[in-house]
Amino acid sequence: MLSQLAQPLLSGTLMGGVYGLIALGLSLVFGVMRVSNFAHGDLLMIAMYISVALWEGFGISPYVSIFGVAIFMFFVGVFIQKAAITPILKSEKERSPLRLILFTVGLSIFLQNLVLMIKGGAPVTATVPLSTQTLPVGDLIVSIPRLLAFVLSIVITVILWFFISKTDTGRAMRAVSQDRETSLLMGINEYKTYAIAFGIGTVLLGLAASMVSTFLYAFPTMGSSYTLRSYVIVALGGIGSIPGAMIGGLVVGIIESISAQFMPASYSEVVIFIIFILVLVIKPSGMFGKERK
Amino acid sequence: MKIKKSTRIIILIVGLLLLAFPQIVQNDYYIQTAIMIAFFAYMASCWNILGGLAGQISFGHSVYAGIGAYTSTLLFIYLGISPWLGMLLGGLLAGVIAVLIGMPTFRLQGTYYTLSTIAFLTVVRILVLSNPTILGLETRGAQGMIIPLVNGGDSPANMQFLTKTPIYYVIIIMLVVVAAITNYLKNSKTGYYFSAIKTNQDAAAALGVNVSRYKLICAFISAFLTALGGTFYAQLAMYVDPSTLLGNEMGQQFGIIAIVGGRGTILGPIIGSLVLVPLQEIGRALFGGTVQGFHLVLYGLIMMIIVLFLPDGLVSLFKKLKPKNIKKSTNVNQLGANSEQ
Amino acid sequence: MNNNIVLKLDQVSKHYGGVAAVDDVSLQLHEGEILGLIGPNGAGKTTLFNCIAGYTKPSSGEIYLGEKPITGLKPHKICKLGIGRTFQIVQPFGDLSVLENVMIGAFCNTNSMARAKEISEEILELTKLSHKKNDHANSLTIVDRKQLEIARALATKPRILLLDEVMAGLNPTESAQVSEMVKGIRDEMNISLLLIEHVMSVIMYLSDCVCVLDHGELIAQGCAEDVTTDERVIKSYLGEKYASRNK
Repeated sequence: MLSQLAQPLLSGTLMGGVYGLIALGLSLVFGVMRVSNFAHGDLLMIAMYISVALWEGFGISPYVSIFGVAIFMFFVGVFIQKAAITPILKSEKERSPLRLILFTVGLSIFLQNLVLMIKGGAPVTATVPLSTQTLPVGDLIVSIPRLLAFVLSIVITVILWFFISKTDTGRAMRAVSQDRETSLLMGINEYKTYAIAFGIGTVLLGLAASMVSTFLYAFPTMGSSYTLRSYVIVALGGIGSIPGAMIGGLVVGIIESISAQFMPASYSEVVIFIIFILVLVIKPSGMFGKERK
Repeated sequence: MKIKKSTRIIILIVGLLLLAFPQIVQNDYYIQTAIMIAFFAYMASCWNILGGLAGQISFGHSVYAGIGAYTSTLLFIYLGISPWLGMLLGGLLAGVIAVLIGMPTFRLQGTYYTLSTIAFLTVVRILVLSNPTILGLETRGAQGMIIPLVNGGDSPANMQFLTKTPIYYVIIIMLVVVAAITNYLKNSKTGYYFSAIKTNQDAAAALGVNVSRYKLICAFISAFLTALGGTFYAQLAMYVDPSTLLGNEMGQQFGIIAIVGGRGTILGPIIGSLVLVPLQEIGRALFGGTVQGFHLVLYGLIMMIIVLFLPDGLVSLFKKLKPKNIKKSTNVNQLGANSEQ
Repeated sequence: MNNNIVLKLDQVSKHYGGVAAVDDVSLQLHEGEILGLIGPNGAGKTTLFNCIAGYTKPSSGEIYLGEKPITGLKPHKICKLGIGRTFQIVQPFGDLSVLENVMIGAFCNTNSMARAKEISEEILELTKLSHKKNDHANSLTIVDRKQLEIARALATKPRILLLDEVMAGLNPTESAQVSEMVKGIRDEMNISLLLIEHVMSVIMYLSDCVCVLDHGELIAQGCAEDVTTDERVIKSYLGEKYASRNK
């Protein structure tokens, strides 16, 4: 039994690390701004399509284009923030998330169907030489691109954690997320902080997208399941918590991978939904998060 | 409620035009388009009761349409129960399920409710797609079910019609009913409570509003009516399948139409449907179905623009034309404050 | 004021994680009394209100409305039992007119539109908002919003009203206007009031008694003049420096 579960446990852990990284961007934005981003998964999808296009069109490996994609995604994030989210936040006195939900759902529908219209519905991936490489460890098989993605995800998470806790920008973000009114009095530029937070969120998506585009398929409607998964992870790990996102990612990755042993692959979203409802029923404030006042 | 004389005259004229429409045009294509516009106006109005009046945003509302359609169709096939009755039973089932889904999710921030609606739709779709039977009844997975014809399709008692005209009248009546319900709610204690919940749940609770109870009531009404629309759609196509009825596209459209037209208003969903549904036809005419997603690209784009620049929807343009007419009860205008927790 | 106790807090505490936002607070509100609740920012005043009104469950302690324990009941239940409250940040229900806003409160005791309208019109008369009853609630000025917030709460026919910083953001004239209104509410409707306030002149003018919270603890209680000369209060309020200088 144990040996049967070892392989899914391993693959689940590797995938979970990447899930954690993907959710981290959402957690950050949600934590700092209280802004719901329903296009989160769709932005990941866009970044994956870009990575694949660069590989197929110009032969640039996703491992090379990763920084370019990340920088591009930063500007995409800042643009969305400045063009839409900031104006909405400014016009809503009571900072209700409703218009932002509607806006980001609109963005999600737009992006999904734009890709569908241009590239069609068939899944795409960047099959680089490394894609099929494996590393045998005892009885287990470790996929090298997955291992690489996992390791990089952990490294990026640690770097982000340092950034948030040690730099002034990071401190400003934490201040705004903890007590908006006071931090404004202390002269923190709220909207600049938001733009940076959103930008970092999309950078993380760009990094994750490049790494997974070598072994996962991208398709136009993939976004919603990643958005849902990320929210589940954020709910598990606690809003705004960096280690929480990583732990939540690992939990979700492992549960998904183990449950896939017992049911058809198409049921993975059913599993995420069940975890989602369980988290909401058992502990709405998040498994690892602190209760907020 | 008192309705102004001028409003009554307008309602009368519009009503007569709607009644006479099939006789005037005498063209199946136009009648079919009118049916689709009325259908989406109806569905968006149902969505609007929950999303517009009470501010609980669902993008998976088509799940209730699916539940309605599957329930009435299965009841018809297995027990010979007329869809006229079956649609009510489907409505009840959809309402109960909406309440069950609402119980754990309504307690939280609006974001999580919206997510749960999308997730629930996905789960139901997967279950229907990947199982040939549900509860022992044959639903045929992705193939879908063809509704058997009675008397060659000429059986009004079983909601089967040979021509488009009676179908047109059915959906127009349904649309009038949902508009009347919306109007009634807007002018009742329940509707006032919905409005309070939409703006600020804590403030509502402080005034004695049982927030979760009223949200569940609202979800029930909205899901019930949406399910009726689902049965209508099934009887229109004489076919039920998961990828249309339980598709994301359907779930998104109801919301988009109401939002673009004007959330929380009676006319908003109707205006939204009049503007957006013809875009589908235009897309079809331009690309002949070779390009997928064209109208949804436009829908997404229009929705973003509306949310950014005209948050009260197209209907607010009409209000702006009429000078200083911000009176109570008939007030269709919503100034910004739409929050939820 | 007579000696009937309408609201009693018995050793109420609320902890968040390890921090006590409200620490072992006991106090009593008498019928017809106006009790001021003061203390520096973060002293736990609003948390205490949230405990009373059911928005958060106290970690320990009991709250009684008259003889009836109400600890941990839901906000709407507590409202129906007769405790009204206002919020620090006022937010009218923007879709609705002033009258309709107040009607939402009135629906607490009736299902009839006509009756709710009647109740609300009376309340608007009392709170001097009648002339604006058909205005859009979002078009109101800040002072009108504050009055509307109070009017809504009054429409639920409370025995006790909790007012959370109603004077914040008002200029002295407006603040005097609202003070008069609050006094009128007590006198005409026989409602007991518990109010959180920062403006000392308002507290001195309105309250019969004052409670001082600091770091969640009740550090002084008594009539307004006594409390403001209490050294611990001065220290917590104005800082150590001020206290020693005044010695």
